[in-house]
Amino acid sequence: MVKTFSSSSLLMVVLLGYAELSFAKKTVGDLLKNIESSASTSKIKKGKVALPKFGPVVNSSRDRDLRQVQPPRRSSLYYEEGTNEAELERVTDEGISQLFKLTQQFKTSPRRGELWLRLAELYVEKARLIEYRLQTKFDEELAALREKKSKSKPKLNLSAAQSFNKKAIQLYEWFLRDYPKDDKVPQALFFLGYNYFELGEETKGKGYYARLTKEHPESLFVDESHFALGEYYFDRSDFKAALGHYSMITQNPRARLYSFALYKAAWSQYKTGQVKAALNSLEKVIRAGRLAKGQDDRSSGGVSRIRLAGEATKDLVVFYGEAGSADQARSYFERVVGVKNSTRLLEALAYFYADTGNRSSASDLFRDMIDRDPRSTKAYDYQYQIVRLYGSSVEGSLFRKELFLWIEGFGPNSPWAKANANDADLIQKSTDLIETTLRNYILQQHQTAQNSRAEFSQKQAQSGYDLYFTVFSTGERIEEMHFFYGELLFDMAQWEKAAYHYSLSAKSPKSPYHKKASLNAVLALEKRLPDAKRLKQLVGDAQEPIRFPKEIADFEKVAIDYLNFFPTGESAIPVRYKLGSLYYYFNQYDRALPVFKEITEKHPGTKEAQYSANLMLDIYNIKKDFEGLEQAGKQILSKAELAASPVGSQVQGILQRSSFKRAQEMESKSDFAGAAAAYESFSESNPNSELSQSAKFNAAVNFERANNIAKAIALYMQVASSKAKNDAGIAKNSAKFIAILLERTGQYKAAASAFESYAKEYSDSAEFFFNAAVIFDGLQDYNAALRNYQKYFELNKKQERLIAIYQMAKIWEKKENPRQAKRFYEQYMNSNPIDAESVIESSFRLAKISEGLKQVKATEEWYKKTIAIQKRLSSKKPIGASFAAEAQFQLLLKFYEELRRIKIPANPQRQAAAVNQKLAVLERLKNELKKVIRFDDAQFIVAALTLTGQANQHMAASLYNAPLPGGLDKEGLETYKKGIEQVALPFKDQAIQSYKEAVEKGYRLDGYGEWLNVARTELTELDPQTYPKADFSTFEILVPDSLGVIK
Amino acid sequence: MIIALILAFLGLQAFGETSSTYQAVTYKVEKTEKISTSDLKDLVKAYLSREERQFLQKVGLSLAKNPNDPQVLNLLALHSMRERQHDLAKIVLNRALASSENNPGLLNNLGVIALREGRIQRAVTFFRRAIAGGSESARLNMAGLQIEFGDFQGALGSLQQAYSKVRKNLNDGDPNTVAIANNFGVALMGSGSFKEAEKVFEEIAKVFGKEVKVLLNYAILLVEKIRQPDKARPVLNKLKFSADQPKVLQRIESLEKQITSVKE
Repeated sequence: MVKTFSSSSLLMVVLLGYAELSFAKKTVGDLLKNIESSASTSKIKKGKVALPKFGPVVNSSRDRDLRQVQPPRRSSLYYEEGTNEAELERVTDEGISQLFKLTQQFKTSPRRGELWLRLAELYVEKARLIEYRLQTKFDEELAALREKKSKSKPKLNLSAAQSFNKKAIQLYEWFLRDYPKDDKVPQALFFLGYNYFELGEETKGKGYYARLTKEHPESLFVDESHFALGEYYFDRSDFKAALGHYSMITQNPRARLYSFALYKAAWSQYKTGQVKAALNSLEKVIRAGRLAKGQDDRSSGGVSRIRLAGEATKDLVVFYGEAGSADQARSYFERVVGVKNSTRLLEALAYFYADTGNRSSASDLFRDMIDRDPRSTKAYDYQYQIVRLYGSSVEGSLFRKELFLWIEGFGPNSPWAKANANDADLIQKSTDLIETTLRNYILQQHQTAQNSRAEFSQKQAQSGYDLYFTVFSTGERIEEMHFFYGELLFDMAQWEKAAYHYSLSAKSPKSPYHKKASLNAVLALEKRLPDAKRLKQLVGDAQEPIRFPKEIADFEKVAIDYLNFFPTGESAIPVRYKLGSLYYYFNQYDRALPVFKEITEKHPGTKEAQYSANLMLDIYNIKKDFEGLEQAGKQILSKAELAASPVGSQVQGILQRSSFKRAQEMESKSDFAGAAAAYESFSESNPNSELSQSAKFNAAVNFERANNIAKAIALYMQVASSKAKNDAGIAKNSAKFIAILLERTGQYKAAASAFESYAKEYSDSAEFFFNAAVIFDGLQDYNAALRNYQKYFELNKKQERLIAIYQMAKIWEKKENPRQAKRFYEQYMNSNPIDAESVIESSFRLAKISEGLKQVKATEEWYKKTIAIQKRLSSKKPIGASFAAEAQFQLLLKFYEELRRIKIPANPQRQAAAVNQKLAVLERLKNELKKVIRFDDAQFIVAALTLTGQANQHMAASLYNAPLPGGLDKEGLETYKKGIEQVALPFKDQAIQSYKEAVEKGYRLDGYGEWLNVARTELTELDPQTYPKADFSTFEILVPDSLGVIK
Repeated sequence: MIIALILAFLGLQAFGETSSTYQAVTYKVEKTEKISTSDLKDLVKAYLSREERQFLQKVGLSLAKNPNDPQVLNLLALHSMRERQHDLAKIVLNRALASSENNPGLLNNLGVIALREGRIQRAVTFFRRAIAGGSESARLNMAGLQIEFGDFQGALGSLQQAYSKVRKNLNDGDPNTVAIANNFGVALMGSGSFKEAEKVFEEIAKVFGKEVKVLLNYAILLVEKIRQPDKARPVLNKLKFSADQPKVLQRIESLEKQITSVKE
């Protein structure tokens, strides 16, 4: 029995497991997976973008010092609105030129004084025009400075104007010198005072005014001088002094400067806190103006009373704002300026209240105006003002409420907007205002949210954005708003919505936020990407491409958009890598590969290139496209940066393994010859590789599977001779396979030696000693066989080892050493063997050996044991019957021998006893032989029948040959012989019959053997007529069958 | 996929061997290749040339392709039988039988081995099984046994069939041819078919005129069975010239005496 062993599991380990185990730390896949896990650290960084600058929502609480409220400059009042100052100055200059010539022409004329006064008047006018121009310019520059449109502080230089004042003074002084008694002296005195005041020479000016008042108290120029003095003090904020001079004029309602003085007196009263008095003064100015309508109005020192009334009406709002109440305002204004004009004043008052922080009054007035005419073109602004009022209110909810009412009531789709749809400018203006206000508010809220990071603030800002996009879908700031809403949502971790708004912001390539929004959309959706655990769930163990779930498909779209617009953007590489790695995770290798390839090709110096390199190789590895893997590896190594990076050395290792894997792949496709060659090539090309011996071993295995056994054995021998610790496993297996293959290929002698060598080397393989023993036995190398059986017996502790004892006994028999054979058979029989046939045969062989050793007693005992054992073990199924039959037959031979030993004596008295004794033995023998026949063994059926024939033949012969009794005569002798004949003949006939049966059964049952020939021979002797001699010469025909291969 | 080979035990009890002697091995391999006709011819050539090393090398190559090929294994067994390594031959034959169950040629060869070991009953068992499978070799071997034990009638059919095949080419040089022809004649003679026996011996004596056994049997037939001394005399003359064994010479002398007595 050649012991076999289950090498399948072993080979499984060798061919798969070994490779896997040996790669446990360094398989392509594992390497790549490890790298991939670190690759996930590739982050796309989100930049911070500051919120855009935004104006305050409202500035309704401007503190306004009422004392700063000024009446219009005097100079401005001299000229009606729409006056062409340039033309006026040109005309004035022409007049000056003509009069100057006349004064030169008539400088000695007695009427020269009249020319001087007219020229002086033009000089004064010229000075006023210049001053007006300079003052206007100065005011504009001052406004520019305030508005920070200019940095330089303006200076008011009136010297140009003052030069004409000086010229006027000269002419007036000449007039006083030459015409001291003239009627126009008061005029000269007034203008001398006026011009000196213009030059800043107050003392001289005051002197001339005083002289005028004293010397010409009835002159109209007295009021003029009072007014001039009032103006002088008013300009210097000495309102009390000013009021005194103005009051001198206002006492006379018919005074030319009455309205003007009253107007200025009102302001002086206002400035000195006499608000109600001031209000009364203004009411008088207004009434005066109303009365002047339709009359010559040029009566108030060159200033229109109607215009003054207009100014007073304007100022009325300011003064009323200080003194009156909102609820009384409408009736007051209707009374003072009439119903028609009252609305304008109420509106102005509302604005005034708003500007001065009187929210309640302002709000009431605006709301009242809206309620009275909700479709008014101004209504939107009234509501805006209400909104403004609450802009800085701590009660944010009030502001939001008013803001919402404004947007609802006056937004682009509001009833108000529809009612005013024909006025496109108005609608645009209102829409712009709403947009700006709402946007500023939202950004302010967003800023607060950014600062506080409070959820409440974030939600406030979010609701604002939502409202904004409900109202506005277009506009020049819409992309900005989408972007910052995206920012807010990003901060709130609302990734999908954030990405949506980023995408809208990035819609137009012209948008300043296009780039950032595109990237941030990617970043937002990146946040929604599944983590590694979720990815594992999604993909599972699938090998085929898996469609992206929605969140990843969304990411893919924005990522591709970003890469299309910004292929070289600073975040393009990580975005591209992320996209590629998602393709990779979802087995979409055909998409992943171009992405990774581009990264490694174009950006080899980046860490993403290193990650990409590995994933790219892993894809080829998974696809088992080892040719592609090798090409990709070579491409990676062609990039100096990658080759020098840590991944470079890993790729080197991977390439090496890919070569190994390629061989494995061929193996898995049953291309064993190809795999064997590839493994061998690997081993030869990488002799220092840790996989070299494994490759050699696998090459051997595949050569074996490709039926190139000689090559396999040669390689196994190389591996088996390896002393490296790591190769111990495959070295052992190689040694084993060498023996197996030698046996398989019929190289039994070598196989036996290989089995023995292996068994000696590895203590766990006792069965290989057995294999060696069986083959050595077959090769008739009995000593070697005994040696190996003995080792097997010693190493194997199981019951099955007894077979070795049995086999050794047989070998000793072949070696013709019966005593040793007997010893081993006895050892076998004493070891409680369980193999029935071996037990029966061993018992029988012990009997035979004992018989050969002439150990009679032992012989008989073992024959008996054989019969008994056979009987016991054949209770279910007959077994070992031939041994038992022979044993039984051998035991019976003693009866035949006993029969032959009984001699018939010559003494007639004793002859009968002897014959009877023989007959008894014969009968017993015949009965015992039936036991043999019962075993139904053809050979021993024949033997038993033949022995029966032999016994009968012996009886007949014994009778025939019995000593003749003495004393018989010839006749008596004849009679005696006839008697003998009668007694003996039946035995002879019985013998013939038995022989005949033996031969017939022998032929019929194939009971060939020595006893058959005995029967034939005896038959020929006893009945030669029937069974003639057949001493023919025959050839032994013993034809081995070549199964048809040898013809 | 990976399994290079699986070894399995198959018992041989069915073949009458004791289970403890040896067990057959079936090699299951990934891919077996058919042994080409030319490979087989080379193998046979090596076998017949008795170049053991060359023969074993070719056996190895063939078994590498198909370790269970019965023809190759059988040749290897025949080689072992020729080397008198019967136990090894049995190992190889049983290996072949493990995958070619009841192959009559293989069974016959196990019978041949058993007979050579003197185990007649075991040989008979194998031969009978082989005959049941249609083995002509086994019929012939069985006939040989029957002749040896005088069962001429039993052997007659098989020998007649074998003789009819070799009769057309008695000069083929195969030692079995003369054996078949002679034994067929003996079977006829032992069965009492003397005329048919005379024809056979007359026929084969022409071809095997120096074969002592053939001539002796022919002489016995002519002298003792059909009593034709004239025909017997030249046969005896040839026989006397060829024979040298004392036992044969004695028998020749006896036959001559019988001719003389017949003549007298």
